[in-house]
Amino acid sequence: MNLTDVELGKTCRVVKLHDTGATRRRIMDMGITKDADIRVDKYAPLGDPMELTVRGYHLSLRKEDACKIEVVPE
Amino acid sequence: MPTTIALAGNPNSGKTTLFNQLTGNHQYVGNWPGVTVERKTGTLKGDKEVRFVDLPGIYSLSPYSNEEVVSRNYLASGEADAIIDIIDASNLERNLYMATQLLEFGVPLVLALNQMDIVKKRGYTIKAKELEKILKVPCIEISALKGEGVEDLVHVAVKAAHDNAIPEPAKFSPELEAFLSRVEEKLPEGTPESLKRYYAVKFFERDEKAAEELGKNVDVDDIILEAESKFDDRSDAIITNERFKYITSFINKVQKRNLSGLTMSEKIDRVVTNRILALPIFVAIITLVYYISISTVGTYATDWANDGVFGDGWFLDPVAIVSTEGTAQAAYDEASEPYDEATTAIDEYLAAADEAGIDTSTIATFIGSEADEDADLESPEYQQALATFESQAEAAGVIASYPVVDEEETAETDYFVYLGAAGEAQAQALADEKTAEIDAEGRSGAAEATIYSFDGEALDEETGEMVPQGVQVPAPGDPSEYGIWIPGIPVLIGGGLEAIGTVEWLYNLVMDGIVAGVGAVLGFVPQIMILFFLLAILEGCGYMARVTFILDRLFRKFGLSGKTFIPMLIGTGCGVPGVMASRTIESESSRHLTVMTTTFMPCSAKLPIIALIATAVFGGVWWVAPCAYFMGIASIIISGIILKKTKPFLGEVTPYVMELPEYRLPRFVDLLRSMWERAWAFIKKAGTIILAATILVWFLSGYGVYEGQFMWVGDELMDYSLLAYFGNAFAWVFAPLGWANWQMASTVITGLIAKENVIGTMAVVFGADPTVAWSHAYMQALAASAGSTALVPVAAFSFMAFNLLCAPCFAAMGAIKREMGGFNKWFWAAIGWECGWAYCIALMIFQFGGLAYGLSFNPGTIAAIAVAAAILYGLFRPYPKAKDDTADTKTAANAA
Repeated sequence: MNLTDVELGKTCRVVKLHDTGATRRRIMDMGITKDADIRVDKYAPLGDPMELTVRGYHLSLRKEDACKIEVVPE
Repeated sequence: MPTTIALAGNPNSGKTTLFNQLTGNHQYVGNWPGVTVERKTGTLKGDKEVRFVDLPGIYSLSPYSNEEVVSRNYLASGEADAIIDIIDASNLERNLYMATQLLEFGVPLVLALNQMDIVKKRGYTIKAKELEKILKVPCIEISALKGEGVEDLVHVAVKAAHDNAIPEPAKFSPELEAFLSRVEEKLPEGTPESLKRYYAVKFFERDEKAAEELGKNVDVDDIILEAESKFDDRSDAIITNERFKYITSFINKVQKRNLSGLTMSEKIDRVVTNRILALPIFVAIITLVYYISISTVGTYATDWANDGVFGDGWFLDPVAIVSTEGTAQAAYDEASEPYDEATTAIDEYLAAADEAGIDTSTIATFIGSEADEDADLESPEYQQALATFESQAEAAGVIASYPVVDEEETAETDYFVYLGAAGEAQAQALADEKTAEIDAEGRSGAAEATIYSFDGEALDEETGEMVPQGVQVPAPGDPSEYGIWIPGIPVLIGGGLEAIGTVEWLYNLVMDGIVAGVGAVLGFVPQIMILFFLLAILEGCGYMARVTFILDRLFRKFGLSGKTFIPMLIGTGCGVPGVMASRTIESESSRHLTVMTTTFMPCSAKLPIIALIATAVFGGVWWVAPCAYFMGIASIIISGIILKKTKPFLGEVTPYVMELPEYRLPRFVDLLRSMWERAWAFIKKAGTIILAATILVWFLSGYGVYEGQFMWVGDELMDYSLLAYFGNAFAWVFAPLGWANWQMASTVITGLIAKENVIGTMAVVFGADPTVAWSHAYMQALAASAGSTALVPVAAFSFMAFNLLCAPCFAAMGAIKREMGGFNKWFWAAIGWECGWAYCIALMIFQFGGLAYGLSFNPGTIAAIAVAAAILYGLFRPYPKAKDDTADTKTAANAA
């Protein structure tokens, strides 16, 4: 499953980052790396982007990038 | 020798606050060489031997943004003697990530654990001593906000710099270390020992900038491929994973987090970014910012600056800020308005009489705006002059007519001045005819006719009777009789120049050129300051990040960022702060795009143009103004879509990976500082480039060749000015747009000083015939240049469109120059795009609109069709493949 499949409020663990172009490196720099825990908090009013909690802070990502992040439920 | 300390840290770590604490007012803000990334340097308060360089707030030292590249280049250059890494202790884990990168530069490093108070408030504990032991670099707890621990921090950093205490890089897993040492062995000889680890990691990550920095490429592909197959990941991911693994291996030893319950910030966000409430709250906040900065306090401040400080003068009256009632200004206005109206009426009448061949030189010394200050209206000389003049004027049947455009109400009133019964009949007939003419074309209500009689009566519209006014109105007297009056700068300078007996040309240069031009620009400063103060609050408290979160989806379709909304909105007030507000946009390509298109919004100075066209040409119909705004918004969106697909904007995929920082209360001093830095940048601009440009246009419009002599021509002989000469020279350019005459071409030039000038210049250049309102002369000129009367509305609309969309005023261009980082290709691209776009739109309006009104098919029509086709192609062609994407696929293929 990928990050957009995770239910709101649930936590998951990153398995792998599939290619997301230039954004991939940025996503990793922000702490979304293998084995990191991510909680999906909410979606923006227009349905995109989404807000996550990772490594103790809040991060927002577009769905098109989030769907390339492979995760497993915690 | 001075010690140089670099300040590095994540955004929102409190870096700016610390930098301000350290340097006080001893700082210098500029740009990094070649790029528009803010570069701040400063010396320590009380010790000039310690110098700080504030690096941009970044999350990592990967080479993906200008901010990261300048930081890396600076740190690798070895110029810094030590680095202070400011760490947001309430977000320790992610902040330490960059610390692991900073450890590799071979420069002494000190960690400053900031925001410890928040950590304590939340019930966390962080053991700085423990962290120090693990990382083997000094860790100092500070509160940048309160200034606690800052002295200690400087002391430790300076000591580390003197001791040259090179830190040990973070230890990765033995497998990775083995690969890295193999890369290290391949580094060319002469690589500085302290930077070997840095380059090994960079080459391992396939960092394209590494070879550039080292000046030599190192082929380590075989090692990387081996590692990638072993780790089953791409090499840069391996490094990033290992950095975070390293941090997680000890994080629980240094930090105890208490994760139960919501933080304050999370509670606020439950409401502020709520799916239903987010948009209404956003609208409310933006409306408030707009209301304060543009329509209420901002307008007051601008009026004060333009009409007061850079005008005649102003009353020192604090009450006026909240209410106009009962103020000295209100009292003065009440006394002066009828007087001003009457004076204008007299002036116009005297001008009309002059035109009719009547000698007005004697009477003009007694009444009208040119009258001598000490003229005695009781004297027999006056009575005699008046009687002579009256009988002459009455006999000649002189009547004057002039329109007054009310900028705020967007209404135009025609005034008629006459003398005696014959004059009255003629004036009445003119007024009636005008209404009738307008009625016949179905545009009633365009011009209100107000009739003045020269001997001091005006028609009361309600009763229909003539009531005394005009010359009988007493002069309002000196403003100082109404309150504390502070004369404006032009008055002071003008008075000073007169007192020392300056020659006329110099007086004109200083007053009309420099003071008027720069004053017009500086008049925006108070409004800009208010706006920047409010924006600083939004940025400082953390709401800006939420704005992007809320609007990202909408704006990215046009290649713009969610934050583009703010410059656009501000741009409807004034383009200058609008353009400057774009600096809150992180992505460089979105920022450039925003700067290029923000001034398409009709700013308040462009309203008189809209008002004039709406009333004079379209008879006050309601749809002209909405059309102008719609045109602005459509121009921004369409330009965004078209430009997004062009090469300069393609390379950079606008990533959206955004931290939503904790909300916090910004410090007042920091708000003021942020406001002042931006306003000052604008003021400096006004003093240099804008000054030069203003003087040039003043010179062109004021001087000319009249009867074979080069001389000052002024308003009266503007037809002979150099401006008219140039206007004539390139008026043909505007022929396909329907308005090829020098007057309108020259308004385009004077509009560059300030858009208000467009109307002002037109009033001057078309106002030669006093029996016809200049707006009618304008329409006649339009009819002549467009080819037929039927085409006037189309030509006028094309003229309006061009003036609204083309390059903005010098002040806004100055702001564009600053945001683009100088007179570089971006600046010229912005100006070129704006002018080109304006030309294309105006061309299409006139050509396509003209076809409906009987314009024949001409080469311009073909051009318009070509332009329309090009715009449609630009809009709908698929996105070309980005260069970066292919590069990425290549590396991905390698990795596979």
